[in-house]
Amino acid sequence: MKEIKVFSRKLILLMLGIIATDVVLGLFIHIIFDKQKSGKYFITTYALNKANQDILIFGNSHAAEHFNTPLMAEKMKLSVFNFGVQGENMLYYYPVIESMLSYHKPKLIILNLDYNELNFNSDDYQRMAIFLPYFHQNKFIDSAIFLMGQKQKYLALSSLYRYNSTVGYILLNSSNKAYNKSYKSLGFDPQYGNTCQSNATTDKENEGNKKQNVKFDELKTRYLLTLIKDIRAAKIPLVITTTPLFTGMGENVHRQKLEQLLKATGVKYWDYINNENFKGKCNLFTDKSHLNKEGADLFTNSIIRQITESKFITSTKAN
Amino acid sequence: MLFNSLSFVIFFVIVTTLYFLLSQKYRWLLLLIASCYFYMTFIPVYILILGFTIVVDYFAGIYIENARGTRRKFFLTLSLIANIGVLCIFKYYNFLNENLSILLSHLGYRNVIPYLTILLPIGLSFHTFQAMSYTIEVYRGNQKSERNFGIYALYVMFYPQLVAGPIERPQNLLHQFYEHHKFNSERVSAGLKQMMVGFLKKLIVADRLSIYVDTIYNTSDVQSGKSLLVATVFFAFQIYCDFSAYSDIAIGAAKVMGFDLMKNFNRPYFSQSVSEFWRRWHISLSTWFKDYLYFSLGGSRVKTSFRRYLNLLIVFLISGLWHGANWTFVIWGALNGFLLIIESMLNLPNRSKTLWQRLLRIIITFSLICLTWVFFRATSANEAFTIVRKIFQFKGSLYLGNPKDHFFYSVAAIIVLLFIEFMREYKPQSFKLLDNKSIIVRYSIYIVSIVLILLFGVLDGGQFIYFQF
Repeated sequence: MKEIKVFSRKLILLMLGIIATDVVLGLFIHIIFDKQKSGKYFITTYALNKANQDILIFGNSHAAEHFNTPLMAEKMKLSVFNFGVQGENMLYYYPVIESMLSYHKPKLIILNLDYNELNFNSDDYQRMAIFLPYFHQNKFIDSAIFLMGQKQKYLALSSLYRYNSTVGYILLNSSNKAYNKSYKSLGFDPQYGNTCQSNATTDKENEGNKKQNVKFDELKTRYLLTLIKDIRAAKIPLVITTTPLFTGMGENVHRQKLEQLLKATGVKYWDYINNENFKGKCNLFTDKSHLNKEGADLFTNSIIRQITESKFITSTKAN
Repeated sequence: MLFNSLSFVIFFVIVTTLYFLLSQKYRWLLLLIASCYFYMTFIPVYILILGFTIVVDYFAGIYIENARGTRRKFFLTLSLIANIGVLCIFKYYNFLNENLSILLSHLGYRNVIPYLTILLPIGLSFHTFQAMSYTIEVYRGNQKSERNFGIYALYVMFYPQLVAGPIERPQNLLHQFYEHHKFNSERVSAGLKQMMVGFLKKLIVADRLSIYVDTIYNTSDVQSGKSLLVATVFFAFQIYCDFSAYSDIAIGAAKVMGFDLMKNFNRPYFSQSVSEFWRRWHISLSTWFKDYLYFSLGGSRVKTSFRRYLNLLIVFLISGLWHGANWTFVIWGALNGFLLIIESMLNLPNRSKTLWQRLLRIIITFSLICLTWVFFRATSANEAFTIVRKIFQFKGSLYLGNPKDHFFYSVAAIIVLLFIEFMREYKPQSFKLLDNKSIIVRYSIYIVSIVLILLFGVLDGGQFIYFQF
């Protein structure tokens, strides 16, 4: 019995040491985390706490790489920021935009969605790990984290666990050298090169025509509707966009679902999927769905024109 | 219930606590109930299959011991047929049926035998072999039959090694269920440390490497030779860390309660020959095949070298098939068999003495083993041959994954693993971390290990590779 007591005491001592290390080291990493000057965490932190621009753009890589925000700022004489984050989806946009609405009222929000934005994809739930470093920031963030699974409630109590698999990324983005996805680029992430040499003409996008195995995500749909409602309630103009595809796209169940929903809500939707200025032009794309810098500039100029013509923002002074 | 899950940690703590609180009389019952529960968390109804083989082998053991002459062989045969039969139905039926369909279609006929839509019972290959070793050892007179049905059932179902080994022998394990294991803090510490080593290997190395390996191998038709080469090397470390981690956790969990299970891995990638590799890799399986199949075929005591080589090849072909119902595993087994035959023909010394010769032999052996792993990992023989061809062509650029820093985590994990294994292989006395005499060093290592798991471990509950066997 004595041996068990001694052993238990040592075990408790060890666990206390682990908890203390977790707290102290976690705090240290958090300090470095907050000092990031580029990358997805910089963008997310900025959106959750410090966004103050007139025009805010949200979306995934199709937003980050296609909306040339420095160009927009220059031509429209307004402050603009691109909060696009690679690989993200509606489950990410919802908590970020709702958090931002609690402290800032921009003049315009642009939300870029993919044609299959409302599809169910279990991987999208695991991508909520991006919010772990922001655990307990607010209820939207915590709800997003718990979408990964209920055990996150307990795992996220560990300060170190919140930075799982991020240390290298944090260190890489802590220096002031990167331009892309930084304050210097206003969040814009330009890409270079084109797809003219490769055979990026396979029309895999039309896989959406297959009706079988299509499953829509009710939560994403609910989030989109709630966002539209809340942004409207805050009297902020909202535009939904879908950026161009190299091969364009015919009608399919995914697009129809999104179009029907947006039409029912009456929100402005600018669909560039089949825009003739981009379709088939390999010099404007780096792959089937991502524009290069030249393509992004062309797209951005088009968006600027549409914003001006729509008179969303009466104080714009676009060229 | 996977070892690398919160539910297993809770299960282990509860079972171990109850184990030490209970008197010796009831401990086997607790372990048996816990093992049943553990097994049923996968597919509950399959416990009936396990139950069937346990009942057959329990009675077979008694009848073999009581019988005389050819009746002993009769009961042994019945037991082996029951075990292999269950294995064949659940593991090989559809594979055999598919090949029959292909053969018949070449001859212009149609196969009317239906396919079965059944899932493979978890750990089937492992506990079947463990059960067979019991009846064979009783037959050989090396083991008395176990008269306590509960103890025998526990021997087959003992939860730490139920689903992925080590494949125990009755002489080693059965008597331990009768021994009184007092709480011993040194032994409990040693067991917990071994479990921690297992978790480190699984969460930080194996599951991290699997992200890159899966990405490359799942799209092997579009990947470059360089990426496929790197993915293959990564897979070599992934499968080693994954499997040896399971063994470490199993051995450690058993050790905590006072049970000694056999060592299953002995730093296999430091082998200087393929034959040495097979003395260091999955030791419980390779010794099982050596003792029960290779020796039964005559082993190396046969009259001709041809017969000896044939015995080797048969053993490895069956070993390949044991791993999975796919031609890729058969080819993997055959490759290993041929490599052993070639080594035997070349009559190489077991180990080289000079450093450079040793290093060269280790690198050559590792490269040959990696080549065989391509067939182990690929989903079809065609895919495997294509991958091998691309690796040798060595064209295209190396894909670093997305995000790139995860690739570098993988490389760092391999470097650290190799360093630790190197020190344990060549300088074990001067490199003691978990067993260091200084309490400060020990506790620091424990804390650093937990920190590493929290910061770099892949914590989404990846399954162990050998569970599928």
